[in-house]
Amino acid sequence: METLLVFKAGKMLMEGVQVRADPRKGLFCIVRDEAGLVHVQWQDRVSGAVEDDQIVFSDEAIFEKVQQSNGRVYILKFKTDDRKMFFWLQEPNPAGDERLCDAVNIQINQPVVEDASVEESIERDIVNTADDTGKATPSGGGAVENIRNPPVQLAELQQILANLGQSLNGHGGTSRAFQDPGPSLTDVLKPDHVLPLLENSHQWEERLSQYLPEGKWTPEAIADLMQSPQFRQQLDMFTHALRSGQMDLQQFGIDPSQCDFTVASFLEAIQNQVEAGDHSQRDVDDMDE
Amino acid sequence: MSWCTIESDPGVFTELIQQMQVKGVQVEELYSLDLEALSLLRPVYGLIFLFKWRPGEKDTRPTVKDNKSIFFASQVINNACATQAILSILMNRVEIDIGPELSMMREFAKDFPPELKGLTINNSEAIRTAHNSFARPEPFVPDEQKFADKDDDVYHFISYLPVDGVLYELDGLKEGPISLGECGSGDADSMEWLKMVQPVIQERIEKYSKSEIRFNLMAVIKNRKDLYNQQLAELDRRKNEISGDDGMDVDSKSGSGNEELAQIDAEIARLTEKITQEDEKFKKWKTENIRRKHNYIPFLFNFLKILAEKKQLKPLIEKARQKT
Repeated sequence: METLLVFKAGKMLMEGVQVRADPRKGLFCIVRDEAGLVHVQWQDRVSGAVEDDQIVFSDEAIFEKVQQSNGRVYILKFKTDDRKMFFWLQEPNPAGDERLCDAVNIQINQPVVEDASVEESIERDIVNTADDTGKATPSGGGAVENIRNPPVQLAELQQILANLGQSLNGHGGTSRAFQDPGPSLTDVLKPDHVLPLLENSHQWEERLSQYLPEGKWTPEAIADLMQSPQFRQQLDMFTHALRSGQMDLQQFGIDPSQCDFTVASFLEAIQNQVEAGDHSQRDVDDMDE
Repeated sequence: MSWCTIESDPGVFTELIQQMQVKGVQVEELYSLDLEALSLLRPVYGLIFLFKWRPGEKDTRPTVKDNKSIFFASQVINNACATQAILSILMNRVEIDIGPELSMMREFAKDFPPELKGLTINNSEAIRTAHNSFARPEPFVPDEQKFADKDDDVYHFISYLPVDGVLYELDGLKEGPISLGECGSGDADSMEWLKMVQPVIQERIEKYSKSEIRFNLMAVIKNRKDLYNQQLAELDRRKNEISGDDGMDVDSKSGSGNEELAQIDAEIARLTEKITQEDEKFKKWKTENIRRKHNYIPFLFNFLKILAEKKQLKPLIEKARQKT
């Protein structure tokens, strides 16, 4: 079992509609087993016993702060069923909570080679539907009866699922994603900070318009774009891809060894690239003289 | 053959419908279920209720079997459920011009059982292409959306609409349509089915509010601009009737004629204003959809390079660090 993430947290017990904290000291662990499956576990720090263990498939669950509570309460929520696990953070410094929360979400959404969970849940749905119609009154006519025969349907669906499975093969992620304590791209490109820089940016407009869908844009339009949810979503995805090693840095002319999966190092690499470009330009100019 | 997740947004759905070559239909988000709000949106072809999916809910209501006049498709793949809910309304309203592709599909699949109808939809190259065109660009993320954030909950969609004078609930995860009772004419213009569906949806909302399940309500309606233009044409016609058909000029008209003219003019002004609002809304939707589909990575990279050239990159990083 490979440990991907560990931090101090207590667990909580659900009693009807109430959630009560278990006072014991514990550990919230994300581990990966030999089969490559990711588990979320809760371990009693005193006894060492692992009391809860849930396998979590990619894109199956999210980890988020519980808004209704004043404490540092977080929930691991499964998207496709009722399962919920509540935790209360026991790490000494609350300032790191948000980062831990992000880290958990990144870890439980690591791509696995064959994502069997998607196939399983789809099959479950289809089989149920097939069974139900099996009980329905046939409308008469042999053709319709055959169609209602589950194996025939599943054969067609296997084809769809096989194609789905292929497209689910992700790039390999690394487990270093959570090691970026620095700012995200959204933090760095906060509109408040960036907008002032866009004034007097008419020359930028020319260089950038080839990358924008509508071509020529004004600084105001660029400002508008950068504040739009769609753009910021892409920034978030970019940050995530950077941190989890899924970003191909070479497309930017950046040597991957220069970056340590943090946004800050990526930006520094860009800075270095630009400065190197300046120097070589200057050298060329010097040579011309 | 995969379907991507798309955003549940009226602008997305409206353009999606247009891309499937359906004419004269738009989607509006409803924030209130009160009858006045519903009434203003008429003609309403159907309502779509979206909520976070929770299986295991017990529902003992009987489903309608073997009703050939209703197009009911089983939901086969999760990511396509928005499109399927929209189709469940479009395919069941004869007054809508659903275009050649959907008409052909409706004809082809009309005698299929629900699962096969669902498969037919999912095998449709045209529909899948239109749907997937709203997926976020994926230069670096595999087809399946891996990024977990609050907005990526799995939503389920249920449609409500009248067919042949009966109000139905169409849920692709159930065996068949659920009849909610007779509702008069079931015309898109009629308030009767809206009055009937309101408490049904209200009950769901109350149930989900208790468990803090997020939901949305959308209405599939006639294109507003078309409607307003039709109304304007009607008013112009009336105006001509009053003031000029029989050769008399306006001044010599009776007082009531003048009054009516004034009312007509006021109405024309109001409708013209409404049309302007619709134009602006569609323009905004168009911009948002372009943004959704465009890959901004090249822009981003070049933007960052310019910031670096202007030596503004490091200061931005520092400012960001100070906040965290």
